[in-house]
Amino acid sequence: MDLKIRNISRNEILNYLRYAGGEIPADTEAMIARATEEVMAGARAKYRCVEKAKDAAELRDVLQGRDVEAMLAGCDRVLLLAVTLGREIEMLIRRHAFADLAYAVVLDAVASAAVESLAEDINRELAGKYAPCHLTDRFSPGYGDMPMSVQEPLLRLLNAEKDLGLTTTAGHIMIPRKSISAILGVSPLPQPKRAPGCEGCRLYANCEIRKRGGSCAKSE
Amino acid sequence: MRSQNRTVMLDGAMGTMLQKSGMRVGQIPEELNIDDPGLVIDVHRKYIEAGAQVIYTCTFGANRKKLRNYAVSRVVAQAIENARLARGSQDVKIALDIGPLGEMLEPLGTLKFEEAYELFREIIEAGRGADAIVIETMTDLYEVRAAVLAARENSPLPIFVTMSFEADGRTFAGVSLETFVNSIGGLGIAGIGINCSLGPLQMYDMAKQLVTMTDLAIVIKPNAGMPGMDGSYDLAAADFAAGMEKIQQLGVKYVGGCCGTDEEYIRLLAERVRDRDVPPRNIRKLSGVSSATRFLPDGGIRVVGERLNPTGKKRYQQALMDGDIPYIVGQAVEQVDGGAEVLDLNVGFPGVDEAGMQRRLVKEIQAVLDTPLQIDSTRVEALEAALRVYNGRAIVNSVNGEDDSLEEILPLVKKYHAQVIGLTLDKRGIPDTAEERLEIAAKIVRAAAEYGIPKEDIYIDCLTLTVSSQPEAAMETLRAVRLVRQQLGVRTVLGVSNISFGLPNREAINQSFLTMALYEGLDLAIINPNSRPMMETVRSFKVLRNEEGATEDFISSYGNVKVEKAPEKAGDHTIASAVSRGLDQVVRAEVRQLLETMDELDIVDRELIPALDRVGSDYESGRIFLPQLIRSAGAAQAGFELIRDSISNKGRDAISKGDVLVATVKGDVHDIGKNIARVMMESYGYNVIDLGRDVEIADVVRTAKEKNIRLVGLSALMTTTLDNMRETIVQLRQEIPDITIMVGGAVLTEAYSREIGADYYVKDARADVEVARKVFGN
Repeated sequence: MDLKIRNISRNEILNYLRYAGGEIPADTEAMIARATEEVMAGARAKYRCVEKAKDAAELRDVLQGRDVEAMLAGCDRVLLLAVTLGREIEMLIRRHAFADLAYAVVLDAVASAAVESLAEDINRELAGKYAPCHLTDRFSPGYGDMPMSVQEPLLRLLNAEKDLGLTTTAGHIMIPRKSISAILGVSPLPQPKRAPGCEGCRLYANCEIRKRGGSCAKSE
Repeated sequence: MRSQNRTVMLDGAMGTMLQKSGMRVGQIPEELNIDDPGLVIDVHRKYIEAGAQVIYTCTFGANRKKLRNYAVSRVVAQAIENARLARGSQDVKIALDIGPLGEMLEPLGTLKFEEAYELFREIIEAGRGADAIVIETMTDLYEVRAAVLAARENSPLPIFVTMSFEADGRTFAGVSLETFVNSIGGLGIAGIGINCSLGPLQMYDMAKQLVTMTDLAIVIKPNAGMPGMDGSYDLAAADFAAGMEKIQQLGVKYVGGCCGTDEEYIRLLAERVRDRDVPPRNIRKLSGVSSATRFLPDGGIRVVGERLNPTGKKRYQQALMDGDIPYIVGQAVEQVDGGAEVLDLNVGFPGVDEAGMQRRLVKEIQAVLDTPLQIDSTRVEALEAALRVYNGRAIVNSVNGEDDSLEEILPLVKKYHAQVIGLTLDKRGIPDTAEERLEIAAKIVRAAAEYGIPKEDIYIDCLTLTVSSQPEAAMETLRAVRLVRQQLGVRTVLGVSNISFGLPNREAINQSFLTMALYEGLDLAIINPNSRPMMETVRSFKVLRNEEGATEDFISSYGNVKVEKAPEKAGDHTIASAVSRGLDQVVRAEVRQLLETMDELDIVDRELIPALDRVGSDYESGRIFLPQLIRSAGAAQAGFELIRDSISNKGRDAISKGDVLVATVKGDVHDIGKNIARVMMESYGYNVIDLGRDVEIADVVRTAKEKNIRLVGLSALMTTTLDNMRETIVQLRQEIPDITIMVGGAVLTEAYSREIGADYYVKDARADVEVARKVFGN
């Protein structure tokens, strides 16, 4: 399904740019504004979501690891989700990397924030659609003890190659890169949101602040 | 597949039918050919009974990437056997079905074009027992190219190609009908078309366009409408058949169904259209040059960027020698920003492996630009290397009137469906008179026709001579342009800048000559698009000649040029403040001024580097952030370029604080961090050799050895590619025991970098500079 980017979280953009406070100079602001415009106009965003019974045989290859099992403990259904900005943005970022690297870095951050914002939008829409049932957090291959190799069976169930143009490399990297795949549980009972600590954060592996021993203390 | 001009009925979906017949979850459909052949044979039989005259083998994903339990050759052979069993003695043709490999090709993915070719070759060789090859559901033109070349070169069977377009008229990869037809239609295929993704109603308008673009037979195989959330399709069999009949009436010869269709859809459609005469089409064949996503139709004046040519360009020569891809691609981008619509690519320079460099640069340039390319070489192997991997329809620059040249190069032009430039010279050199040049041009056009290359695909270059040494030559060249156009009806091309060689104020001469040539009807102007006056000449000429869109282009190019704010001048800043604000123009001006009184090295050590250090410590303390740091590095580097020029003008040895090799490891395509590291180190005066992303381990090791590298920087962003980082380190150490290795990337930590054997962990954009300082002691 085609998708429109409605808004891109500014905080998220600044996070990706490792902004640590202080004044943002006018030309950086201008770059962010230009990149936001370019991503909104240039993305060919699409998503797909399918619902499966939690005990469906075809989910066996997908629900790997204890962490996702724990997350889905009180759930009877599972939603699989994939969203992508499409291939155009990738080429745009690479082109700018040769002409104006600073801008390419900003564009990359804005695109990352944009696909995150889209996933949030879809998440919210699904929460509304499934009310009064409750949704768990989003869980993706690579989180916790779920191996990255879950990416392929997950995308296969979503028919992502044909319907979204979304594939993986031999090393399980999603191409186009600005894409998110995820698993959510549906439960009749309220679901605990992940602890606001680092362990539950999707940036866990990559977080520079955590690596330096700090914490952003970001809470939901 | 059938010769008389009757409508041919194809089959419907294979996957849909297999699912209905109870294929178990997780089963690879293609492996059913062996595991449960009865299921597959039954599907074929149902389609034949419903009226299909061509059945597609159950081999859509029968490739090495997707099969799990059986070899490709075995699955394909069995699939053909199953189709034969279903056919029996009936008059039904068997098409070897080939779908996408399931992994994205370079440049977005990591699958190499050459690997894709091999994967397809394996299927095609195993499938020689079919009656035809069908390449379908493709979204990436590059993958289509690999498949078609593999089919042509390894099988005598006729080839049919269909791609999947979205409702906006483009595939996921941005391919349009025009770029598809223009690039693939001439590769010796038997039929072309559209399948999957849309239903007949959404596909109608596209089919209507397609039938006019090419004289090839057309194939249309849509889905059973559009899918809903539960995966079912919204069009009933009768409605599908009605929609398809309308499409058949456009002049479509091959019709069938894709996802969601079953034997009922095929039966109802066959009742309506099977064996009916194919209505005649009103064809205006598409012709022009194109990349994967941009089509430039013939006609109209085109600017060809001349800058990627080593003649007289020291910096570019050096870049070719060093394999400095970022510089070369940067030059390409700059020309396109200046207004180039086509880029000439010439890499012929002593010591450069021309074929290898053409192949590499074609891939690098098409990874970032959608500008069509003109491959410039006289060497057959270099031309072939480039044409093979070029993802579109190129111009070959060039053949000349000599028999050898024509016999060697024209077959390549034909094979790869390129356009070609013919130079009006031969063994005798460049003739003096326009009439003699016309004669050579006529010979070229005749020879091309013998190879089946039509006039529309030829540009004649009447050759620009230097007016300062041959004063009468300019007018003779222009006269030749006119004669060639009028008498041969072909288009023309000129390299313009040569006219003014040896004269002052060259641009004035270039501009006048260009205007005169355009007035004679010049089609391709090979010029420097970064020259404002030259582009003004082209754009204003187009307006005066009343070319479509010319006025809009002129206004958009020049209408918004506000009176620019007085640029910040050198005097307003010190180098330090200019670097810190990322003002490259100002840094240049400052450096230029200092060069009058100060030694080059002193400027570097006392001005540029302290300025960068200050920016660096601001970054580390969080006072500025990443984009500013990069801008500052870029500004300092602009100053460095001037200093290098000054040193080389004085004939002294170039300054380099040391050579550093950087690469993003094999399997990883996230290279922005590596690019930042490169720019940072360059700004400090290190010479950085950048091997790019997804770099083979052997390439890292070989280059490090060849160039006597002491410091290597490796980046990886994904946990899944860290193994390749570790392996690269192991092999580097084996070959060069005393090499220093630094690693960076989001998933790395200090501890982990030690574990995989790196010497340094680069924690942020600036840490690499500190490592380099330590290693080189400066």
